[in-house]
Amino acid sequence: MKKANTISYRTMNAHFDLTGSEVTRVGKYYLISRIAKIGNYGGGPGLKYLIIVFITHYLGRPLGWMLIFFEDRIRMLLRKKRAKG
Amino acid sequence: MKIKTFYKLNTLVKYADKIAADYDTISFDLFDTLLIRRVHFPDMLKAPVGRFIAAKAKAYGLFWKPEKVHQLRDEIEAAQRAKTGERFEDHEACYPDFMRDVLSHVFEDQISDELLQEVTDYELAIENAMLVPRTELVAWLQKQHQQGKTVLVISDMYLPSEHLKRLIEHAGFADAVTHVVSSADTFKAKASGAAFPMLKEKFGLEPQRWLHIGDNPISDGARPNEFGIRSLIIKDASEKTRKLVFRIYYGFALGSDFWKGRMFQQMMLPLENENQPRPSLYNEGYHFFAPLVGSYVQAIAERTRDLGIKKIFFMSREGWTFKKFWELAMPTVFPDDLPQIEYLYVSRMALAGPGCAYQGLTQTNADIVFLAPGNRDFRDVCKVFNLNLQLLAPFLDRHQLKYDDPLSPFYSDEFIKYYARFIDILEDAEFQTEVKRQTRPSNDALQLYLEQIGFFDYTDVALADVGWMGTIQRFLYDAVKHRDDKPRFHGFLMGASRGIPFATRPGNYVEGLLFDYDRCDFAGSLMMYAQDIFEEAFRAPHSGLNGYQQTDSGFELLFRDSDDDTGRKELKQNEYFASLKQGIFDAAPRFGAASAVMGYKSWMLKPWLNYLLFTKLAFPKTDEVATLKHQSHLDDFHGKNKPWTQAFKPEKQLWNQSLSALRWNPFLRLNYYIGHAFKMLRR
Repeated sequence: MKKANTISYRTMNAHFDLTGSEVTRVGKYYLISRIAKIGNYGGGPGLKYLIIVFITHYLGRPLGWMLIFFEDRIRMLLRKKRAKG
Repeated sequence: MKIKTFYKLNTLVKYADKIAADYDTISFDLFDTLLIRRVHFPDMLKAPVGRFIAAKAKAYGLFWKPEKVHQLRDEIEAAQRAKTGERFEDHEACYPDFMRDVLSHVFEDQISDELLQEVTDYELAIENAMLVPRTELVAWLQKQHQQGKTVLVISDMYLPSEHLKRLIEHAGFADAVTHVVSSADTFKAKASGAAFPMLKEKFGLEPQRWLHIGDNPISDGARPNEFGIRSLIIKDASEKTRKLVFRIYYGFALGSDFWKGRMFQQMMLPLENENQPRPSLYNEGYHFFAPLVGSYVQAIAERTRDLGIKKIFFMSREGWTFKKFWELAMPTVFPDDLPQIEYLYVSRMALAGPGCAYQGLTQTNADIVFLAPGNRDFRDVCKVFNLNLQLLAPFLDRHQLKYDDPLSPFYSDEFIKYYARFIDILEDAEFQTEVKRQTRPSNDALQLYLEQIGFFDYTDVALADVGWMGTIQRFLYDAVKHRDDKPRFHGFLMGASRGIPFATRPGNYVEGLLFDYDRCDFAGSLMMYAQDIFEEAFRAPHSGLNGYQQTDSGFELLFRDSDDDTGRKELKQNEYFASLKQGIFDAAPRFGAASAVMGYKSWMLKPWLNYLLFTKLAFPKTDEVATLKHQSHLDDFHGKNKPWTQAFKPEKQLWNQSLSALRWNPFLRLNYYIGHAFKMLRR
């Protein structure tokens, strides 16, 4: 009883995920739903989406750094690509 | 001078602090520097304003699709930018000017200053809901102000400085800012660099003593630098990642119903200073209960608007949480037209008696008493319906029933014999006359209470409650159905288990909005795994209502005494769940803002809510069960007798399993899940 009100976690964790409802849990649901899936879950998460979301949360930081460092070059490339049509 | 770029906010602040002594003027970019948005794309905030204008137009009898309004806005704004570009170097726009044009198109000749003000207020309210100040940088800004420096906020934005001031005020640092400057005021922007000489002249600033901080390498870096202003650029990798995560969810939500709710929750996440360490119960309230409550109250708003219902009564005690959530969230979602709301003090115990005042004690209502295994005999009937046993004793004698003869199947094999005698009593007209006589005063007091709160002023009222069988509504209807001015009852329950069939009629029905047993919704039925937790989580902090009593001056509400053992336990449980409730309420305004921006209907979140029920109730972590399981659940309606164990085998529930079983039995959850599926199919 004490534990639930004293141990503290940030509501958004360091991976920009929901504390206590992390994306790993969606993965667990995905596995269980392969065995017993009944009800309206909007088609479920989909393996491809799930992997992308997982990568974004857990490898997103290095990805963010890369995007920042190469932002100008990426923009330039995209502009050239657009200009070429 | 070399432009210095920083990839972390704290390093920028540290560096700026080191060199600050050399500067008298510090200017800041506003968006993505001092304030960050919860969403990745600022134009997303135009959509709710489009919906707002379309709804307003509808009230004027003009039919506009929100998308059309949005498109018109973009066209008029672009035209204004092109026109400005002919006279100035920057292609800037000014919100009041182009919005007035938009409204003139939409409302034809009916545009007024009040209408423009209303639209502006809504636009700024949505902006405020989506903007979060960057704690570290704002703290440094305030420090510079305290040191007597001139602090400027400069933005290339269509909102004029008066509007930007309102955003800064909401963010809480307006008093630390000397001047707010917007390109919309003069059409001289940072992008071309025209803003800087203009500001120098206007405020008498020295470029050599001026430090500028922003996120755009050109507008906030190169341009001020060319003018001799020292500039620091922030390219925050962490913030970039956060937006990237949101952008991924946003993309998925466009193509998959499942991810809509997840994206919604990503938008609701607390940022910066809002994201403090919290107890795990708080996070459960924020991430699990809040989306469920939000979706439920939004569904009520949608249904009442569709049906033209003007008044909603949130019934005690769970309605207290729903009403508070509504107040924090729904005005943002439906700014144009919402029904009035009121908290209604009711309970099964308080209404059971008044429900008998005109129709007497019906068999169906009496049967409700014996659904609770703790209720055994005629004494329990008297307790629930607030009847005087001594005055009814002659009728028991007449039909050869003793007050302690078991009437519930959970107490004796022979209960049917006694139950038959009980039916005879119910059919005795004199017994019913006595019941009506005894319950009439409480009914009269109830009528006075309902009249005082204007219950009979409406032809249709919505009644909102957590669930499950609609008993409170049933008793309330019984108590007022004799009146000609009774309104039509539209009952909206969070979950409808329908343990006893509800006597549905056009003027009185219940509907489960997140789960209804009458609809085939297996995923929603997972709510039934732990009904008590919902009741405890949403319960109001006041004592339960025991009844209504007439007084010389009118009536009074009789609340349960909170000094006894039961009351103390209830108080303790409320204290335990206080942080959970706080999590729900903190999430409410963000739910409202997210809903307004995305324009989702409540049913669009259903697949994700079903997933939440699946993962939190059917497949919970052991720690979650330990955390969320109530310490004590109290209900006076449920008697205190112990049923005969051979007849009563309480249904085994996952949430009643021991923590060690939950921790070590790998198939326990799956077993219960499959068992629940079969049970639902059988029913």
